[in-house]
Amino acid sequence: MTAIELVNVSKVFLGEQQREVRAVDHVDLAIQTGEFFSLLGSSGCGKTTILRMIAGFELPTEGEVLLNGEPMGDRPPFHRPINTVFQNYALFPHLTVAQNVAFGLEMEGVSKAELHARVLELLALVQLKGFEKRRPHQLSGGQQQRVALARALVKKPQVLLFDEPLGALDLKLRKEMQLELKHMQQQLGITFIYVTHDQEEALTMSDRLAVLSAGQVQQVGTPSEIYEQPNCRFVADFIGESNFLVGQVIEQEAAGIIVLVDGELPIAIPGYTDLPIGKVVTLVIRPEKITAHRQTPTDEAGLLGKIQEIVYLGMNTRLIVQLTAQSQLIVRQQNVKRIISPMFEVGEQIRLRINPDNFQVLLEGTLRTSVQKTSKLRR
Amino acid sequence: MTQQFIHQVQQKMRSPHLDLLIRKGMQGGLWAVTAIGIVFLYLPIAVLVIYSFNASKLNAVWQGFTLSWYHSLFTSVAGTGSDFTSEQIWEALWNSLQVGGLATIVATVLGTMLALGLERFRFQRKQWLEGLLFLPIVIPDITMGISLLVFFSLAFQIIEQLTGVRLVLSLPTIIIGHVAFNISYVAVTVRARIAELDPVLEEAAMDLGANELRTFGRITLPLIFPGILSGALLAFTLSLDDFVITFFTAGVGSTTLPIFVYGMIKQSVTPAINAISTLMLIASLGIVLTSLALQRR
Repeated sequence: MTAIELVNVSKVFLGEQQREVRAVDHVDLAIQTGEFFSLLGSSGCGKTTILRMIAGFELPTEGEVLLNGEPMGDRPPFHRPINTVFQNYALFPHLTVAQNVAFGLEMEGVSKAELHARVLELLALVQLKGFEKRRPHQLSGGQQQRVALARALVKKPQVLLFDEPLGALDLKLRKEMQLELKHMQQQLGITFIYVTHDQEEALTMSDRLAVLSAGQVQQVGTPSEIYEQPNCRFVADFIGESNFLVGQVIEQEAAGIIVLVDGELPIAIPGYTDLPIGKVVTLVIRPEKITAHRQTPTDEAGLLGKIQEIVYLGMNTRLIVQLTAQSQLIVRQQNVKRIISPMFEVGEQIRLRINPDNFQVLLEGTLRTSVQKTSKLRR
Repeated sequence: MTQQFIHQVQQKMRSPHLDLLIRKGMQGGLWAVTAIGIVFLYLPIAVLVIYSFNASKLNAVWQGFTLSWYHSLFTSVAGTGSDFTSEQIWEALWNSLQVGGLATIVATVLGTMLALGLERFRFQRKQWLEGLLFLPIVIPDITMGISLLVFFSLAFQIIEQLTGVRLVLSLPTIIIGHVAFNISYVAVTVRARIAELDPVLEEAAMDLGANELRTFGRITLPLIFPGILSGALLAFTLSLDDFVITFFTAGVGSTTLPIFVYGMIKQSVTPAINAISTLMLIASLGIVLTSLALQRR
């Protein structure tokens, strides 16, 4: 069943000098009931605006937000069975922890006894028993985060929204909270919609995620779909590290096609037999799916390249290899053995082996652009 | 030759001894300047307070400590040779408190509403209105007083022509005058507090099921309340101390304390005036300090 559906939703803000800014641009999304769904994108991509439209803080300029199939229209936030955990928690500073958690129930007119019981139950769930009388400023960031969670959960929402809730926590606590949130979501079965700019966070926690850019949804899928089969260059580049090789289909065979990269290097790709000859494509290959081998006179398998740079990173070694005049490949070599002296030297000619199944073929790209860095650097 | 000389002088001036001397001189100088400023500010007030305990009837000569001037404020009756009766003082004080209390309540409500409007709503030409907000603070009191006087006489004329009712300057006109200048002070104070309030808190309240009214009552109002109280105390002090605007808007029988003191001076300057002034000073100081403490909270 679909919990939240966005149908052709756009949001236009009036900026400086009445200039229109399209924060969300014709977005269609369907989020399933009980799903942990993330909206991933860099700042200004529209992810928070989407969340605010679901919560009811903003109304769509065009399109419709549906909850369980029912259009929300201009229903205010206090009439939606949806709650939010805010970025900086937004705890009420003049109320105690217990009063903060009780706030939502008080608004519902729940009886004193039930209210008290529910507050205690929720504080126990987030492991904050005994903190009832404290004020928010007397709590650590992690504890405030838990209060914010309890305050939202006490309403038994059908959908719980998170606006980068872990951004203010340090790395270790963030990782703990990620797992905790994931477990809690599985236990409670509530639909979670989680906004983040942290790709690792999104991949770790989500059942599915949407990658956003410039107010548009670029791709929706499971973490592995997004990582292994990015549908566009933006997604491949944004999630993890990618190598891009732009080339032209020059041959069709029964089993696949041959792409001539940078006009000099033919690469055979299985499948895609429907692509016409002359079609420009971009081949995407992840650095860890390439292996580097020392050249031997007898072994001619793989692509020939010259090492430009070697960076030892502990768990793996990162090589930058000049493949063609225009393209370099980043290679991540797992350090499966202890490396006392470097395996390769800068300037050395090596063989790169890639299983052709690991290429993702994108039907986009411009030929003869001098691609200098194949991907943004990531340590 | 000349250049070399200048260079030598500059070298001399860079000597560490001279630098140290300059630093010490500056430190001493700063201390002296500060002291002069403080003395300038507070010496007259100190004299006022000290001479309120002077046994002499003349302000100029010190003849020993007495509390009799304070005592006289509470005990003077007509026909005892005193320039005033304590009944007059109490009446003036009561008038001042009435004016201050009512003007503060009205100005606080209106000023808070104005502050909320200015801080929360976006509309065209808002900066003009913001400028207007500061106008009553910067325009001279005398201008304000005269404009109010002109306004009231015009309004009274119109009312008399329309209804035949003849109105005169009295306590209500003073109150209206005080409201007029106090709104700005309250609005500015409250606005500073609202600006510190994170609007996300209000969103969070609505997210949890509170409509706009309950959000205002449960979240916004309690959080900006110190600012409102602080603005109200400021307004109350300004109202109690105001002379110029009151002078122009007061009528017969609506003498406030500052006006009464002014009247006393015209007859003779006795230490009783010092005593009243000292008490007013203490009261104002207490209120202003409370107001400042609330702003910090």
